Amino acid sequence: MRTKLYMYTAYERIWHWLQAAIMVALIVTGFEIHAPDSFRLSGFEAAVATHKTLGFLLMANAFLGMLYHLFSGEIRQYFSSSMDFLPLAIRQATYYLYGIFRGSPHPFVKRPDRKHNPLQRSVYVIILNVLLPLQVVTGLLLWGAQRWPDAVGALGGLANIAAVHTAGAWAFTAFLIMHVYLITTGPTPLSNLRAMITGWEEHEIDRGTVRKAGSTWTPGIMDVGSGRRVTADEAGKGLST
Amino acid sequence: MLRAIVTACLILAPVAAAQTPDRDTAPTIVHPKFRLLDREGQPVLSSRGPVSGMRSCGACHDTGFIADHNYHASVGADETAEPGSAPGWRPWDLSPGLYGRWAPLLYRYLTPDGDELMDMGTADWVSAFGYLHVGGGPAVRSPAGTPLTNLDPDLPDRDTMFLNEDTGLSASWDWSSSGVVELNCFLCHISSPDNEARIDALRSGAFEWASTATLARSGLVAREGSKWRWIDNAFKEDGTPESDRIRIVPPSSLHCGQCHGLVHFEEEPVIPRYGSDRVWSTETMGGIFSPQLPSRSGMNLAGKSELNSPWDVHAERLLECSDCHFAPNDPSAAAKISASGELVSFDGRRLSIDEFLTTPDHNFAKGRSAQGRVADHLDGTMRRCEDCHSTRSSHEWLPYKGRHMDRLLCEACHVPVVRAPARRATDWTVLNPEGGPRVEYRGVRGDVDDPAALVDGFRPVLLPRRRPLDGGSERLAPHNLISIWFWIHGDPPRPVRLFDLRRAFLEGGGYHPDILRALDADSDGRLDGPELKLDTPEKVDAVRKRLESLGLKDLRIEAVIRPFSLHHGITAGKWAVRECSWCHSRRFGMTQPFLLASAHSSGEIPKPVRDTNAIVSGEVRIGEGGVYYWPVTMEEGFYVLGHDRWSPIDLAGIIIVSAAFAGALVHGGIRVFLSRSRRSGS
Repeated sequence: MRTKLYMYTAYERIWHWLQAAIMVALIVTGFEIHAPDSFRLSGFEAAVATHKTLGFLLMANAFLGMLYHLFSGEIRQYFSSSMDFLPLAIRQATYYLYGIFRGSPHPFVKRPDRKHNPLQRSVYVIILNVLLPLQVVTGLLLWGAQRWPDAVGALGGLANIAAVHTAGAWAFTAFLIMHVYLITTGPTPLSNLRAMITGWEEHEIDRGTVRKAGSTWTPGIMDVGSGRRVTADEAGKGLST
Repeated sequence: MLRAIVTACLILAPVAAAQTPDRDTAPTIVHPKFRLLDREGQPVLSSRGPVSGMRSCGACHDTGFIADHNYHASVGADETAEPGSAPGWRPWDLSPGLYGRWAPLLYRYLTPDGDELMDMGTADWVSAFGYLHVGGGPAVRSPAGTPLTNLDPDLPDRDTMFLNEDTGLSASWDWSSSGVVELNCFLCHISSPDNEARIDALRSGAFEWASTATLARSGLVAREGSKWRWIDNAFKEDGTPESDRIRIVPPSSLHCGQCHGLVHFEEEPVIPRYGSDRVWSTETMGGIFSPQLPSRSGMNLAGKSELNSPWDVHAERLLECSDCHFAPNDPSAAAKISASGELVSFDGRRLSIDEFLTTPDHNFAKGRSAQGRVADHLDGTMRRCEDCHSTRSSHEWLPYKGRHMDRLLCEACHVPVVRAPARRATDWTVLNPEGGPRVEYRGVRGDVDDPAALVDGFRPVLLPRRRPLDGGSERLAPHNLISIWFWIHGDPPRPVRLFDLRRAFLEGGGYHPDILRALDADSDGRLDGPELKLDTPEKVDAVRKRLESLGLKDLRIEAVIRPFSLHHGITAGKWAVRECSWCHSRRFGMTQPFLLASAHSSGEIPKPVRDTNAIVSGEVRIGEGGVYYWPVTMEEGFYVLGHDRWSPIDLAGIIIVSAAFAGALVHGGIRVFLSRSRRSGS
């Protein structure tokens, strides 16, 4: 039975798109600050002011996101106690390198309680727990160099801090490119994107999903054919044994 | 008596101060009549001898104190040490000041005792460099404190010997005949000192007449040969000068300009003269202290009609040099220098005005220039910008104000360009027909002496200034860089004497035939501009052989870069830097290559001098059109956004991002291709 699962809540989507917009704007203004001779959009002074403001917005959004993930339990999405992480990650990598070209089914079935495949999970953990804090801290130090000269000096001066911040910016840019590309690897090239806009993602539902849906979810399954929401039982009836 | 005089001064001073300053009639101060006395304390009218400022002024003022507290007089003589013994000194440097520290632009050096070849003894120094010296100090006493006139002429050292320019050998100097150059009070304290006459007296060896010659414009004396005759009817019966013959005035910028550079307060257009060490700061830094607008100058300035900011805004606002470089015990000056430790920002204990007038400390407050090293202990005592200006509140518009002010001297933005030419290079490896070096100027297209040459000025290079010992941070300051090439010989090394250079290059009113043969490319018997440089090994060898024929050994060419920090020529308002891109970009940025010289001798790359507080750590490269200095600020802890970058990180970043992009394209392309293949197959 072709169904849609309610994958992303409104807050998650707003958070994601806000974060994405800020990050893109930070990369653009950051590049103007970094190489004003090569790229001019708003001028150096405006770029600095915008970058600074966006940096604080990003921090605020990241902080709210952290609270949400902590209190909603969504943080579990990123940490799995499963012992089969490595085999699953290998399967996922094999899929990207080989299976995807042959039209093999996606080895990982997304569910609202398990949105990220093992590779995604690893990358997001690194992005959100290492790279983002690093950018925030180095950005704060660049912004506050005149307030905390001793701290800046202790870390090797602006040059070293800026080097780390620049490296982080390049890493984020690379991540962004890969992220945008990988969202096309869903059931259809646009299904992941659509899901992040509407919250609903089209799925060929399986028994496991239905079992999980029946036990934990408020109705979050939609019959693609009729366009109406169905219960887990109804969804399960459509499945072959 | 003195108190009565001082009281009268105090009463009348505000009247004088309220007047519009008039350079022709400089501010008047009430000063009692005084007699001109000679060194023995006798009236000059009766002794007919040279006047002594120490005696004449010493009748009321403690001239002994003034002479002893006066780095303009000692010019390093009180800081002499073994040759080359202090950090940064050259092997022949004897002190950090004009007396003993080699100035490659002036070239001649005070010769260390024991040297076989003498270039300058103290008498030569007085004669050659006395025009930059107010008298006193080494022109009166040896560094050991012995009066020069009491020295034993049979003890050969630099104080008793001089260079005989006929033979090139040292000979005994007769101080009793020349006399000494006492501290010349008149040079800075009368309204119309005759500096030219003073310099003539010094150059002719009539040292003791230098102060007298300074009074030449007063009509009290008249020149008679190398001596001077007092004019009886210019004096009253009591031996004091007729009224207004000598008018005592407060020292003004014009007085300082006699030695330091061009100070111009007249209506006539500014026309600086170059090629002379007499306008030192103009020559080396393009400094012109004048309220006049460049648009009204007599120079062919680029964009002249729009240059409506004065040469120096402080001159326009009627400040005098002494307003910032004040006498440290002047009770009318904020006693910045007398602050005793960090707990006190102002010391209320000050001299009374009469005490000050008796013992004015002439160790004037000074800054921390890159070029001046004398009296280092007084560095930073002068009044800085922030002592008068509310820099914080006047720069509200400036982003990251604290950061900018912590890392930049005010001059970095307030001396954005120098509108007048300044010396760029001096090449002593060759001599012009007059026996001087080949010289280049920056900021002018063509010959600096040609009135039609377009003067487009130059943008100074920003260099970090070393962190002061008493705290603070390294800060960027604008500088001019002058490169100097010169010959060195022997061990311990010494510069080849000017005397020997002239003997090697010149003969019978023209160039020596060997020199002409090597350098005269067009065989016209002259060495014109492009010919006067040692740009091939053959030319270097030819000059070396000439010098070797004079008995000099181990000859080599050295080259140095001397930074001159710019603290005058201040501009404000729209003329100061307000554009971020002035520094925060590479295209216009502060590390643009700075031309050091259009030609260089023997391929010798100049190295920064070590006796400076400027950090000249950039690279010197030979490029198109000459030798360039490429400033590097990042390695000195100045990371300037938009300007400084870590190239390896950017390279790695570009590779990673490109790889991600290419990977996505290739991966996606293959997916699409195979997907279509599958669909068409099915």
